[in-house]
Amino acid sequence: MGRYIMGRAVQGLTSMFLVTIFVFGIVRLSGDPLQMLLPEEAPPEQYAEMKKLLYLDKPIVVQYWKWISRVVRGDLGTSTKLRIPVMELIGERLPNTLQLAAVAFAFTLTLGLAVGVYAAAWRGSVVDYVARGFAVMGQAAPSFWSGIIFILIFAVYLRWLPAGGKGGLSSIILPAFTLGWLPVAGVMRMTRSSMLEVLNSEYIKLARIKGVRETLVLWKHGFKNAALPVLTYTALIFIAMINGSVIIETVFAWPGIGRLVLEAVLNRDFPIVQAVVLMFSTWYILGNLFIDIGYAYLNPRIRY
Amino acid sequence: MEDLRVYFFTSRGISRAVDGVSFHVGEGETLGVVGESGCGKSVTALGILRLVPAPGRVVGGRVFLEGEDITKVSEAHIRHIRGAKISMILQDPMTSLNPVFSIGSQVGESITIHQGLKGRTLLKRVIEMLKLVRIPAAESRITDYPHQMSGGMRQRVAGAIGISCEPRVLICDEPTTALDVTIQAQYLELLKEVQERTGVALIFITHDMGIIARMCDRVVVMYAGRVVETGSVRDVFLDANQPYTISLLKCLPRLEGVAHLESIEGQPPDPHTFPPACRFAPRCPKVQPVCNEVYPEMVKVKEGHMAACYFPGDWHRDK
Repeated sequence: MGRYIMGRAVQGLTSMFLVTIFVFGIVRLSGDPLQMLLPEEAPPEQYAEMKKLLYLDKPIVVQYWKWISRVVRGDLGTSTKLRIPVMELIGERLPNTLQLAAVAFAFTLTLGLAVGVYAAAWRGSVVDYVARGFAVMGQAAPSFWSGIIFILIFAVYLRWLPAGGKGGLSSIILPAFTLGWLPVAGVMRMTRSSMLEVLNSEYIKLARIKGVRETLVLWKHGFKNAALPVLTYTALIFIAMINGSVIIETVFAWPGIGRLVLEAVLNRDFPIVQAVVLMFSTWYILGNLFIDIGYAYLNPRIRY
Repeated sequence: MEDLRVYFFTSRGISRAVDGVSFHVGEGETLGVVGESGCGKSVTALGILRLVPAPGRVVGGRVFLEGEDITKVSEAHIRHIRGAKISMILQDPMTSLNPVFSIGSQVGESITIHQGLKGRTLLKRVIEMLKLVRIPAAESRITDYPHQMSGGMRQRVAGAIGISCEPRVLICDEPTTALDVTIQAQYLELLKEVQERTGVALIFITHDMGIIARMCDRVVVMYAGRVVETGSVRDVFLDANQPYTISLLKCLPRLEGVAHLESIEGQPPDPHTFPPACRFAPRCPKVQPVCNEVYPEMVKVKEGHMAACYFPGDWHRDK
């Protein structure tokens, strides 16, 4: 097991290294950074001075080294428009995004897994049909549209919940639900089909023959097997939720990372975009690493 | 067991997979249930345990265990019978063990459920059980997972699960079909040994007449969801009275060099559209008009030997 984790960690570090090259490259490809930083009428001496300051007069390998050594130390640069360190901006916005994603994720897991398991166990029942209908709608409706519809129904007509912004507890319900609807549908459908397959197996039959209670047949003997493919998916959706918050945060005026990066793109504020892309990629790689470890824990056949 | 009926309610109509099957088995006795694939053997076994998968349902009959009709008891009660008093070994050891639990925990599970053993005492019992089914180095194998074992070893584990709570009845649903021949012989030997030690009644479901001859005291021959002949193995093998049983026995290879093996003409009938009377009539070489009118009752050939045929024994005149 230790060797397995080590191997996966080394693979993760390799991917990280490639990502830094990619992020670094994107900035170079988008044109001369100086033109973004200095006004057009700036004198050539100022250009030369800035070039030296940013190490742009050095070979590209040296430039990469300077950048990566700063990133490793946690220095992601300063926003060109706001003149505030990027780390500070992210630190300010990230908790809001994490909070939103965590609520949406908890909602996705509890509803998706529970309903998925019982939709399979009571195949063809009302629960099954309602669940499948809910899932199809969740997967078909784009979140920017369903978000607006929810605002219209629950905030404008019914006046139960606030339409946007971050206020009390009630303000998180609509954005979290909108963010969670698509993944909840995915988790539900995946759990259902995975459970259906498992419930048909001989070892489930044997568990019943042994006199195991039906709840335990479902959750102990069935779910642990059915959870394997779902696990990969759920861990990835948590990360996808943080990344996908760009749209939801814009619709609900939620002050998180998503809105920060959208504003940065519109303002051509590259240090912010760069830092956020790097951060999102890091999460994906770390997420995959944890999934692999979790997988090995659940499935003894993987522990080689 | 009296007149057990298990019907499947499908979109194509009612499939009478088990239609009035009766048999009994005593302590320390081995009963063979034999028949072609799809004749209702396995469904009968699941019917006894009330575990017939939907859309199937036990629609009639009674199953007595030590004088109690277990078709009438509550769901909670039958759960205490499953695994504790009536247990079962399934056909394919490659799929019948749960891949994500160690074999120790799988063998121990029913012991915990039915006898409440935990911790050290449980561990001791599990090792004892694994030794009983002759698993080498049982102490070190309890933490193994099914994928680390061979088919023969896995079937031994399944056997250990079956006998872990010292059941009164152990149903073996073709437990050796998936094993290769040398392992098969060992496994049958093992089951006999376990029976001698525990006095468990074995119900041996198979399509292999050879296994019946070798293992069983009495035999029930099933065809299309019904019992067509029953009696001691000796009586049925030497003096078969029902045409289907006779055909089945003719399919066995013999030592006295018969030129070719016979097979039974035709296919077993579709359980949705069983023949109205004798279900073997369409394939029976000796069919008479009456065979297509009313189903023949079981008639007594001699004490303990019954056959469902209008012309029992007629066949011997041909020999």
